[in-house]
Amino acid sequence: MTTRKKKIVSKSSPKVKKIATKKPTKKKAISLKRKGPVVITSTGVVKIYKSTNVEVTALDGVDISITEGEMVAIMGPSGCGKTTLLNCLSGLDSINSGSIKLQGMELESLSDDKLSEFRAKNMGFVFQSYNLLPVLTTVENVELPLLVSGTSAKDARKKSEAKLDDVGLLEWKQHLPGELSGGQRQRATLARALVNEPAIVWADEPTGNLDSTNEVEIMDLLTDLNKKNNQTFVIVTHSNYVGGRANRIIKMKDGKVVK
Amino acid sequence: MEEKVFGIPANTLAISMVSILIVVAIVIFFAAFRRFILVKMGTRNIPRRKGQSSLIVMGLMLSSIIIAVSLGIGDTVRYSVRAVVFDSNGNEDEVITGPGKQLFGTEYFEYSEFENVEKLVSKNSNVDGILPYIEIDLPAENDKSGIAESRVQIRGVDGKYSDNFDDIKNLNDKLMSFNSLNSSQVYINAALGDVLDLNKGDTIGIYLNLEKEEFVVADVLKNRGLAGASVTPTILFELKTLQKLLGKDGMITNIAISNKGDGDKSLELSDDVTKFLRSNLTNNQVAKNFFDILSGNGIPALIKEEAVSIEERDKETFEELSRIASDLENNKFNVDFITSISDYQLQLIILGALDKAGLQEDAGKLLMMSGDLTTLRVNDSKNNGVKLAETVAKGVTTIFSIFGSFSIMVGMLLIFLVFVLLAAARSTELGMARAVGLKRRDLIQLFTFEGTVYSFLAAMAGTSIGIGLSFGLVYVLQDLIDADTFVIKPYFSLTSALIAFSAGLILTFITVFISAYRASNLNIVVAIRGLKEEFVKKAPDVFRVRMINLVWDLLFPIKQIVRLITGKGGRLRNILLLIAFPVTWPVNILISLFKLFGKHSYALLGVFSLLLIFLAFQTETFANLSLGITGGVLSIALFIRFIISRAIKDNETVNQIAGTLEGGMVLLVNNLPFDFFDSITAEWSQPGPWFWPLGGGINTAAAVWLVMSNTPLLIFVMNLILSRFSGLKAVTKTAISYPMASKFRTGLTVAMFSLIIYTLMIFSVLNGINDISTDQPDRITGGYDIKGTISPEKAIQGDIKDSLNMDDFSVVTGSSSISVEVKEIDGENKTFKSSRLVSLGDDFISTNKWQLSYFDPNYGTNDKEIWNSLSSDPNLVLASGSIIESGDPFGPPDRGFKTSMIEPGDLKEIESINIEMKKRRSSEDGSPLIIIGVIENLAGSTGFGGGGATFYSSNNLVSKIAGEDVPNDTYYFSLKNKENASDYSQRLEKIFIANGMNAESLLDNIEQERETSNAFNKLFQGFSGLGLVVGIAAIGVLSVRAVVERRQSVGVLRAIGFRQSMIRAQFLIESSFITLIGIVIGIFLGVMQSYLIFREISKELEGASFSVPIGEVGVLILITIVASILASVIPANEASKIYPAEALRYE
Repeated sequence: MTTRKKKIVSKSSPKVKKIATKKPTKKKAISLKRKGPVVITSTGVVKIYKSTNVEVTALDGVDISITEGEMVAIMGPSGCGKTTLLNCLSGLDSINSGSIKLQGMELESLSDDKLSEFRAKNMGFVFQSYNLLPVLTTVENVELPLLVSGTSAKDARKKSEAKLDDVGLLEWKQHLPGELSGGQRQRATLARALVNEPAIVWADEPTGNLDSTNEVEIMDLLTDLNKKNNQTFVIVTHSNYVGGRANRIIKMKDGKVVK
Repeated sequence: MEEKVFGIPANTLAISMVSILIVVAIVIFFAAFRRFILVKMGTRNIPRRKGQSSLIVMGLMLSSIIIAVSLGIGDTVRYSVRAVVFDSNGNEDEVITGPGKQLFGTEYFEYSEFENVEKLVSKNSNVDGILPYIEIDLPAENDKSGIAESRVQIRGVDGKYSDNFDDIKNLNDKLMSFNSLNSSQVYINAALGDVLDLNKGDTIGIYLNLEKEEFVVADVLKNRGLAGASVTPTILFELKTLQKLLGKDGMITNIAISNKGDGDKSLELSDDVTKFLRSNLTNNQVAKNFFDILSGNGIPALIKEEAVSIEERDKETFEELSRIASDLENNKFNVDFITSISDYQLQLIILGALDKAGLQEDAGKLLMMSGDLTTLRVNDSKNNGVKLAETVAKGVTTIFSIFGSFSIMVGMLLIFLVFVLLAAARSTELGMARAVGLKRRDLIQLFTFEGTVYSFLAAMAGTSIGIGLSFGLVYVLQDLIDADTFVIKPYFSLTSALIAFSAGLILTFITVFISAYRASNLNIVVAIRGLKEEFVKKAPDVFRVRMINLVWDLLFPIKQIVRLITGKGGRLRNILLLIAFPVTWPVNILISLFKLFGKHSYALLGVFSLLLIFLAFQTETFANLSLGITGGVLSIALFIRFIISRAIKDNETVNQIAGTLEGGMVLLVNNLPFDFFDSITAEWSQPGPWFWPLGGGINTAAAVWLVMSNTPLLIFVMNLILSRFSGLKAVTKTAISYPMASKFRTGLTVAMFSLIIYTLMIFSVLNGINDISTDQPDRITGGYDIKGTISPEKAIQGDIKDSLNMDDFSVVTGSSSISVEVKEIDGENKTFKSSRLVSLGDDFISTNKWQLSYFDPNYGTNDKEIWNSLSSDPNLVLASGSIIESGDPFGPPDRGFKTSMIEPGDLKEIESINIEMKKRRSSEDGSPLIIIGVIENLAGSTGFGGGGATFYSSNNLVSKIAGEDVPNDTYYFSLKNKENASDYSQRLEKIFIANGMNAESLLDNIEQERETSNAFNKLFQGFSGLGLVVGIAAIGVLSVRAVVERRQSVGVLRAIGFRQSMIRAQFLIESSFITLIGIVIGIFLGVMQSYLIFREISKELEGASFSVPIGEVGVLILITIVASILASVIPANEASKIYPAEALRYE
């Protein structure tokens, strides 16, 4: 196990600049703990948001690497680029420069359709505001990723019910999300994220809307699953408790990894 | 005659609409002035979202467009018919003709009668001209080219009077005079010049007394007035020349009267002048004798009774009879009485009433005197023409507005939907506004200001587009009608523009206001947090409070005054409510009543429905019964909902069961066969055509309610079907679940499509039924190829077959006819009514293929035997289908003979009907005859409607009834080679030019008519299809909104692996799914309604078969779905391009 730390200091503190001419410097990936092969690598990732006459550099040359089965927490102050990093790493957002590799695949080389397919088969998502489809029942929400990836309706239902059982929601399967509590909704989201047994689970503030009891419950569930299935978890969070439960913390500030 | 729109005088309607608008405008301005900030807040979105604003305005202008089109077409038709009337009548306002005693041919009278009339009118200052003339029809031809015209109007005008009566001008605008014509010269009008290719100086051959004589065209005159209208080819002689040529020295046929002033001014005097002439041309002594007889024996009461019995069918006659009765009761022998009693039709009705009451002696006396009552008849021809213009225009406006009303309904639904969506889009913003202190009425104002701007723009644009569209449509109409006889002149009156603008604006405004009220009803917490409304349902007031509220509302005006004094509630609001108390009072009582009944409102609805049914029986009106029954079953269904809700706690299940019952039961009672209640309501007054859109609206609402109550079932079924395609399932599941979750907006959109498809379906299916003319043309033509008509004055001498090469013909047969009067002997209709008697040649009886819709089996077992029995017994007749009451709501009242013994839908086998028939205006006793069968309506008529009652008999009945020989006036020809019919009809006209034969190929006529009717149908379909545009706009609006609302969901779906194409497909499937539900409901209702209509039609149309034109329906479905997909392509594309990360960040 090797530990490489490198402090990356922002050269110019204001995040708002004219369109950059500066090229991101290539840095070596940082990792606190490595269990197996690297599944996520980012090299010199730059993400710039442009509006009419201003631009914001949300990620400013981010290099990280995450190994299989790791549970990594990305932390930092509001606006530091945590969610943007998660979105870019998971292929939900595009990057301006640099490269991201997931399981050895270069994300930028994939077409939108391939990327969608890749997400459907290999990734699961958990969001702060649950983002369950309000018009579908719990079990229908959970089985959606399976249906997208072509699983038969019967199998999809079976697997979804099993996953709901795992998260303790089986008896709520026919309820609409509106009829569930916050904790229950987040568990349903977890079930949806895990139902297709993805290699990587991305979680954006998974406990952000929960009280401390529910927070503990959800984290217990996450760590259990992480151990049981050797899935990689990347969690964006503000919560020190959540950070504490992770194998490793990546700290960010002003669009850069600082620790 | 005053112009009317929707039964209300146009000016009154325009004034009241504009007044309402002014009041509304004042209120809005006042409110805007008080809180200008609300105007700013309300209207700031309009320029900011230009695309959305234009879309809304486009959707909203539909009602204005449709109203403007309906009125515009009516205006144009009215204006054009009036133009024809003025064009053909010129200065002639009234025309005096002979007493009408002659059975056939032109009726001449002595020139001395004219001199009497001249003396008479010299006393009347309203008359400024009088002119004696002869008017007949004769064949004429261009000698040089051989072009002939079998019927040309010939006028012989007295030159002594013509110069002072009307100007005639040649094509160079030079004034001409009849005095300058010598005995070998004629004038012709430009219309004839065109037809026969004749110019000044050419020779024209005219067939006078069956011999051709030649005349020189002295000049060609401009069409108009005396010279004949642009659609009437005319030859003009000096009176004396024509009298000599015709052997009618000292005789004339017409006296023209011109009123003072021009145009509408002279028309206004027409009633007075007509009354003056009629009363003075009536023998006052005879009229007094009439008056005396009619005053006794309780006759005034009888007349009144008779008047009431025909009120519904014939308003005008009802008024005349009522006035006669009241004059008799009050012993007022006056000009009005003399004028009315000189009307022969009224005399017949009165005589019939006396006959019925057993006062045959009085009736006999009156009949004897009747012939001496009038010496000449006065016809207010121009006024009648203008009235006709009004009737036609009213009919056209009514038809278009009825078909358009479906689209108007759809348009209003769209407005509602747009505002529901706007309110949803802004609910957080509005919730915040409420949280920081805006009141509910402020929110109403906010939306109302915004809506007012949209409504105003929409009404302006809609009216202008509607006017343009109406002009376009009338040109299409002109192509459909015969362009030769009618020239369309586009016209739109200011009154109509005002009505269209105001009606469109008011309709839009009402919907905007209701939507604004609904939007303002938001709960602050619900709006801000995006919760469901159920979370914050307000508990109802306690019974005592509801009771007090009701009592207060019963005294509504006092309540408002008290509130004004105590300052409770807004002062402006209280004043407005007080001013509008005729509306607000009953509405408030109703609301309070429903609030009082609360959960038990079904009982209240039940009570109202029972009252309506009771009222229906009291007033014998079917509309009340129908609405009462609908309300009644609805109240029962609501009661069942109440019971179920006690037993089952799951709201979804309660809604499903109860909704199914509510929708289903209303659907059921609204789709009962039309004759279901006939045993009770046969004699009741039937609802007007306006009931149709109302019924359509109720039907659609019930069906949509039923379907939307069963969304779980629908989702289940759809999933079952679609689960077979596992790749699609993820997409379809979301595509179906979203619209099913927003029941209200989906229901509204579905209702729009259903309404339009419903109308279009009815058109398609009913259009198919008419195809009987293609399959069995013999039922119309009788199996003949050509029909030739001549005037009996120019009868063919000897046997017609002698003039023909009979090798070409398989049958040639003729018929003669006279006007007769007929009454029933045993039935209820014992009043002599005018009819026509046709005597057919034996060949006709044995060869014709007309079918019977009713016959008496005692005279034969099939149609053929019945026809043959006419030959064996001269007292037997067959009657045309028009003797059966049809209740056509559009046409003018049919005053001809009707039977009381047969009703549409009766079995084919009937008992023969005994009638009495006499020649027209005869005081002799009638001959007893027996109707042994009724010929179906299709027979003999290739025009719209088959004319009045006609009786068909064997060879000599016409001459027997007439008491003299009556020559044939119609010939039927069957060709050996049927394909030559068109050519042969022209050849026949040539052969019998001296007789003025007008021959037409019957199959060509059918073809032409079918084309016209198809084109009309397409036109109406197109017009009704306007609503489809709205439905499609609604789908567009809905999709745009869905994309905005579901950005985050799209992000999630993309995150879990939905491809761009899947997102696009999801939105497209969603809109197609909504459209499809609408289409299915529309088709179901349309087929059901058209089947019910077909059942009624088939009663009178044997052999008609019901079929749904699958091809046409397929095209309709395809067009609708493709259009709705196209409408949602852009939003769907936008949704698919949403970047997942961006969407997930979006709040």
